[in-house]
Formats: sequence, C-alpha cells, structure tokens
Amino acid sequence: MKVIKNVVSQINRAPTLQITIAILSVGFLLRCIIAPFTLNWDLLANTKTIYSWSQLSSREFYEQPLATYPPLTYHTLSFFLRSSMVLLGPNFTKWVNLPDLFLLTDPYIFRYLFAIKLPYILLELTTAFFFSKIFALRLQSKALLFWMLNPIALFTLTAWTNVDVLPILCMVLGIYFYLRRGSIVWSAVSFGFGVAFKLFPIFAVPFFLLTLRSWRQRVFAAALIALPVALTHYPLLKVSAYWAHVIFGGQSQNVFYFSAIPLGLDRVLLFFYFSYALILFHFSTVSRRKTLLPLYMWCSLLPIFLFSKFNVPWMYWLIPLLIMHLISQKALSFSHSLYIFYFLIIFLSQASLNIGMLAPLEPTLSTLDWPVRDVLKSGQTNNLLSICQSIFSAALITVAWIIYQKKIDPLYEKA
Amino acid sequence: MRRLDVVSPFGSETLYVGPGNSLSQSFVPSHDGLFSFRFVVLNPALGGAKRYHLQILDKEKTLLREMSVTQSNLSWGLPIRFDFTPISKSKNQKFYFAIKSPDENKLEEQGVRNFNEQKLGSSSAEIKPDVREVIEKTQIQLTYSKQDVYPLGELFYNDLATYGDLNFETYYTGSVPRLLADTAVDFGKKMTSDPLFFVAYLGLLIGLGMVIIRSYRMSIKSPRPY
Repeated sequence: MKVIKNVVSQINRAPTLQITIAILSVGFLLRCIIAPFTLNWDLLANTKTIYSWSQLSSREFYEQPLATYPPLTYHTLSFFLRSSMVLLGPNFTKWVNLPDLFLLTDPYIFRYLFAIKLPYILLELTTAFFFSKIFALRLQSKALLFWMLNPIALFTLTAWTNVDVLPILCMVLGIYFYLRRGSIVWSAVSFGFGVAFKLFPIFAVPFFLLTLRSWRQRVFAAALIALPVALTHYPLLKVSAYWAHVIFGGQSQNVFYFSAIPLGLDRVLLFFYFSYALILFHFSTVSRRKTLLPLYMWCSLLPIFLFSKFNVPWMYWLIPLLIMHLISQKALSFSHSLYIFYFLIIFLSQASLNIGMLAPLEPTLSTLDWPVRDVLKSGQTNNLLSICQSIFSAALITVAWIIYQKKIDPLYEKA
Repeated sequence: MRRLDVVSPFGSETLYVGPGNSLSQSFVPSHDGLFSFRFVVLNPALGGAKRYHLQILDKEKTLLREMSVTQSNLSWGLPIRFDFTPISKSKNQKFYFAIKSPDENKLEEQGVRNFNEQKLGSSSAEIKPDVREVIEKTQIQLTYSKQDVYPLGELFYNDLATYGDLNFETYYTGSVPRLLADTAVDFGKKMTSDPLFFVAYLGLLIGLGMVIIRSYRMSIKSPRPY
C-alpha cells in the first residue's frame, strides 16, 4: 500500500528524471512483452510491400494493391527494415515469403516480430514523451503514464503494428513546438511531415492556421506545411496508380461519401463534411484558440470515427484525445463505455482481429475464421457490431464534450 | 477443440483426381488423437454430382476412416476439412490420406491420366481440345508442391510414388488441459530454439525491471528535476 501511495504521489508531482525513466521503462516493458507474440497479417503484407520499395520503380510499386501509403512512409519504413536486419538475420527474407501456417511454426518467429516492431515501439515512446510535455508540469507524469498503460495504444500499435505512429508523432511535435517552444516554423514543418507520411493530419491543419494572428503568418505556415508534401509527392505527379489508389481510392469512398442523408434528387448531405465543417466553424468563433488547439485538432478526426466503418487500428489517431480526457478527470476514472465498446467491436469481428492475433503462440488460432459469426450467424453479428459502433460513437462524443466542458486551460498552465 | 499438428505448405502445382485416377499422401502425426486432415481442392463444377471417397489408411493400407463427398461439397481454392473419429494412437505412426473417385468413365479416365502425366512430365501425349475442355470444366484438382516440402511423407499418384508433397494440414484433438500443455511446451521449444534471442529478450525484460525499481527508489531518495 505504501508503495502505491508513493507512486501516486510521485505521479501527481512535477516530473523528475527518474520517474520519467521509470514510466517510459514500464511502457517499454509492457510493449516488449506483447510484441513478439502477436501478429496481424497487415504487418506481413506491409513488410513484403516495403521490401519491394527499393526493387521496383514508383509506377510498378504503386500498381501493387497493397501499396497504400505515401512515399515518405515507405522511405522511412524501408529504412527501419534495413536497420533491423542485424537483429533479423539472413533467413528473414525467406521467412516473410513463406506460406502462413509454415511461417507461424518457424522457430525464429518471435525474434522476427520483435525486431520488426521495435522501431514502432521506440517511436511511440518518443510520441508519448513529447505529448506529455505539452501539459502543465504537475500533469506530465500522469499523461505519460496513461499513454504507456492505455490498452487501445497497446493493442493498435504493439499488437497490430501501426504505421500511423509516424504522422501522430509529427502532429504531437507540431503541437509541442507551437505551444511549448513558440515556434511556428518547426510546428508547421512537423505538420507538413505528418501530412507527407499519411494524409489524415491534413484535417488538423486548418485548425492550426486559424490560431495564427495574421494572414501573412498563415500563408507562410501553409507554405511550410506544403513543402515536405510537395517535395515527396513531386516524383509521383505522373504516377496515375498512386493518385487513383492511395489518394482517391481505398477507404476514402467509404469514409467521406458513404454516410449521407438524401436531400433531393441527386443531392445528399454528407455527414463527414458537415460535421467537420461544423467543428471548424465553431473553432473559428472561440476566443482562446491557441489553448484549445490540441482538443479541436484531435476532434477534427472524430467525424471519421462517428460516420464511417473505420478500420480498428485507426483508433490510434485518437490516443491523444483519450489521454486529455483521462487527465482532465480529478479521480482516476475514464469513459469505460468507450473502451468496452471498442474492444467489443474487435471481439465481434473476425478472428484475425482478436484471438487470431495470438497465432505466433498457437498457430491453430490462425485457422479460425469468425467464431462469433459461426455462433450468432451473419445478420445478428452485423446488428451487434452496428449497435456497438453506435454506442462507441456516443461515448466518443461524450469524451470530447467532457474535455471541452472542463475548460482545459489548467492542463497547459506553466509551472 | 483441435490443434495443428503437421503442415505441408501450399504450392502452386495441381494434379487431377477423377475416375480411375487417385492421389494419396503419407504422413506421420507427432501427436496422438489424429482427427482432421485438410487439403486444398480446385473444383470447377460447383454443385456438380461427381463423387469422391476421402480415406485415412494405416501403414498396411488398411482402411481406418472414410467419408464420401460430392462436388457440391467442394469449392474452388479453399481448404476442405475431412474430420473423422479421433485415432487415439497416432503419434509417430505412418498414415495415408487417399482421395479416389468411385465413378467409371473411360473417356474421362484417359483424359485425366493424360493431363496428370503431362503435369508430372512422364508423357507428352497431345490432349484433344474437346477432351481438354471436358476435363478442365468437370474434374477436380488438388494442390501440391513439386519440392519435397514434407520429408516425412510421400505423394502417390495411382499408388506410384511421385516427387513432391500434397498441400495439407493435420489436426489432433484431446482434453483442453492437454492441448494447453502442448501449446506451452511448443512455446518453450520455440523460445529455446533461438537461444540468442531468448537470452537477449530475457535480459532486456530483467534489465527494464531493474531500471524501473532503481528509478523509483532514486526518485524518492534524491529526485532530480529536469
């Protein structure tokens, strides 16, 4: 009991070097325990695709159905893979191309999974560290600890292996440089790299620009944001497969155009654009925009989760919002419903998203198809999934509303 | 509850099974309780009426288990699950899986044989276009690998050993505690079969644990703000 009291009192104080190291080590330890024994097939598919990055021309590369990220992401992931080769060993290339069940029974599978995931884990620790730094001193250790222990972060990054950690790190650095260092230049460059890694941080950019005082500053910042995007996309201007496949294809139709109310002949109200514009317009009317930027920036991503059949690993985008919610509570409480219904969605989905991810431990689990649907049948499973997503969406709005109501200035107050 | 036992990885080669043309594969389970054999079929006539016998035989080729299916039970490119009453003493015993057609049709028999002999490289006899079309549209194929991917077993075409192995998986069953214990044992074997990783990984976990304890103690005794 004494130890727990001491830990709680340490966490509620301004961070010391030792307590920061201890919290980061706890997070790293948990991730190390999970990493070698969990596998989502996206990881293998991505790794195979990354492998071909240096072997194919841009045109050939983006004609592959699984090449779905912008070029900067592949440059970075390819660098990670090459850096990990020391740990991976010479047989890795052969392993990654083995048939599924054979690959799972390979005696080196734990080493391979750990080595592939390690760069992502280290990036996440860096992201969490800088994110905690945007808060008031007394809240920094708490913010860091909540990120390290967050089950959604553990699932979507360490178990799943999510490349979205790259743009999220850039968004966090953008906020950090702006709020804590007062640097518009570095902040804009960070946001620019975020968009160059993956397109979703673009939704946060207008919010950042609205916090700047003059139009001159806004144009300057917009140019800095556009620079990394333009430089990395310039070589792909004539690669039609990239634009058709990565920018306008894939999930974008489902996310932006699927949820709609018919308004008349050939005209619909698109929920995504409507709600995004609503959040942006509301932000333009508030007075303390700079202080409220982190909240609104992450709320700008909410419409994707509220009005689309989002991919479960995308939930990683909202970890900063969840941490803000956790530390805005006086007691150690959180929105149980959000976590419960998020994991219920995963539980009700096909086995490869839940129990099947433990296939490195027990290869038989990879042969399971959709156990819940086998019991409940397709219609009932889909109904349950829709109910869970609806309650999850309501919980998500509640979380954002709670943070807004708490008047979050104290979260950022200087010591 | 079932657990994976033997795996022979997927390959891209195929052989036909039809009247007078059978395939079999020998295998050696590493656990008692053998109860399922999975293989991949390419069936061009979904809902067709052709019949097949799936059999498990012992090393003396005595029939142990059998199931009859029709083409309507088979799909294109998906694993077919042949589950049977568990064979209690199966560990390290040699078994055969066989698939045969009880139908009789001289034209199809010759056509399938010509096709398979061409695929195996033992004949280059020309197949008439009309026969080719009939065979391709009506007869099932099983996938196999031309390499010896499963050294403990052999592939047989019409009871003659041929190079390569069928693509298959076998499963065994048993009590839940036994299967969980087997999972734990296999986990331990996997960990220790890569000793370099095992030692480094264990060292990392212990090291991190020590850093956490040390940092916590120091933060109480002599906190260093930064």
